[in-house]
Amino acid sequence: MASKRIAASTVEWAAFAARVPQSQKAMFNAFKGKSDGYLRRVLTAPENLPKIDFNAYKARIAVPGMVEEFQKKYEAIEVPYPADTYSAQITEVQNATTAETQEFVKASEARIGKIKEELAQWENMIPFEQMTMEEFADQFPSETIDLNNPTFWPHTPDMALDYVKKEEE
Amino acid sequence: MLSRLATRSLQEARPVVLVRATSTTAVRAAEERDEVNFPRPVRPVDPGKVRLGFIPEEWFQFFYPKTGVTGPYVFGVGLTTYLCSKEIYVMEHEYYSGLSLLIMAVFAVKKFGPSLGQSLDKEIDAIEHDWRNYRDESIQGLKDSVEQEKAAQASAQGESMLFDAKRENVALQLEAAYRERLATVHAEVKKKLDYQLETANVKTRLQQKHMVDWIVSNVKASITPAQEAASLKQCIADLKGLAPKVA
Repeated sequence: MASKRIAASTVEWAAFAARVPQSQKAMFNAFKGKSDGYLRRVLTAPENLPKIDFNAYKARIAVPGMVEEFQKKYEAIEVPYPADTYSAQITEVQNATTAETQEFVKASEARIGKIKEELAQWENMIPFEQMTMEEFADQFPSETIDLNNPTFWPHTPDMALDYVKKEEE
Repeated sequence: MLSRLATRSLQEARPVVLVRATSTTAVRAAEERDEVNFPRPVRPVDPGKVRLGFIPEEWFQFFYPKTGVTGPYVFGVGLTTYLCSKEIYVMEHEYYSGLSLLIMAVFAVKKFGPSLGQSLDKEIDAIEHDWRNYRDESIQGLKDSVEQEKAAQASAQGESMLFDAKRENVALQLEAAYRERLATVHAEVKKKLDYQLETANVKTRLQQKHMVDWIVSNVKASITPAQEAASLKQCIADLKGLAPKVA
């Protein structure tokens, strides 16, 4: 007999569902359907070896000693628990994914920092209705003429002097 | 010069501090400007206060420390009188056409001014609203993207739950296989026992049938013709005995 037996699902599906992004909901539902199927399969069969009423057979089968032998062997039988060959693979994949996740979280934190900087700039800005033109130019340098690096009409990047077409690169 | 006397008495009646201003140019300068913190001046939306419809309030304020409250009016009337009586200001035909233009202008301002002002204000408000919206939406958008980043992090870290679920799925499948094995063992043993039971049952039934057949045939063989006639007679006697009861 295996040391740990499982009889009910311990996964908190509600909490899990809340953390699934909208784009992966379909995949999540398919996964949950499969998991539920496995759980149903477990629940359809009895947990231990069902008992057989040997006395009823003994009373009606005349062959001497046969039922006793059946009983002895049935009670002594040991059904092997199937070996787990997949958990190791799962752990391996998990380790790889965790590393990826940590990288993603780090990048995300960096993005948040950048966004917060921008947010602070917006929040500390003088209201537009109180702004002078100079202050607007200070706040939005991209909207103004840069005298050190003038552009030509119509001031789009592909009309700049040093623009190189992608095909020519 | 009666007016000067009048103002003098007024000046005496009022507290000196109010009348003695520090400067004659900017009235209430210290009140208007915070000279400690130097806050950013706010652009006024509405025009300043005026008297008689067009003369700025500040000009009156300018006179008050020197002349009292009637001074500006006296100055205005006196200056006009001077200009007119010395013919510095000549009332030629342009003056009268100016008067009629003034009347028309005042009429136009009174009649159409408010509605025009309202419609222009509406446009200005719309522009201002656009700019404010731009700012608010930018701030909101940035806040939203921070939230999204955090949500993305949370769901990325939620993958540990996925792996737990996967492990549990493996365990569940193993358990299911184990239970199916148990069920198979049970079914096989039961099938064999049932076969034995059924065999025993058939055997017993056949034995019983043979026994019954053998007994019946032996009994039939042992009956003699005399016994048969006697039993017939007995039957007829029994029927006769029954007949009167029925009648």
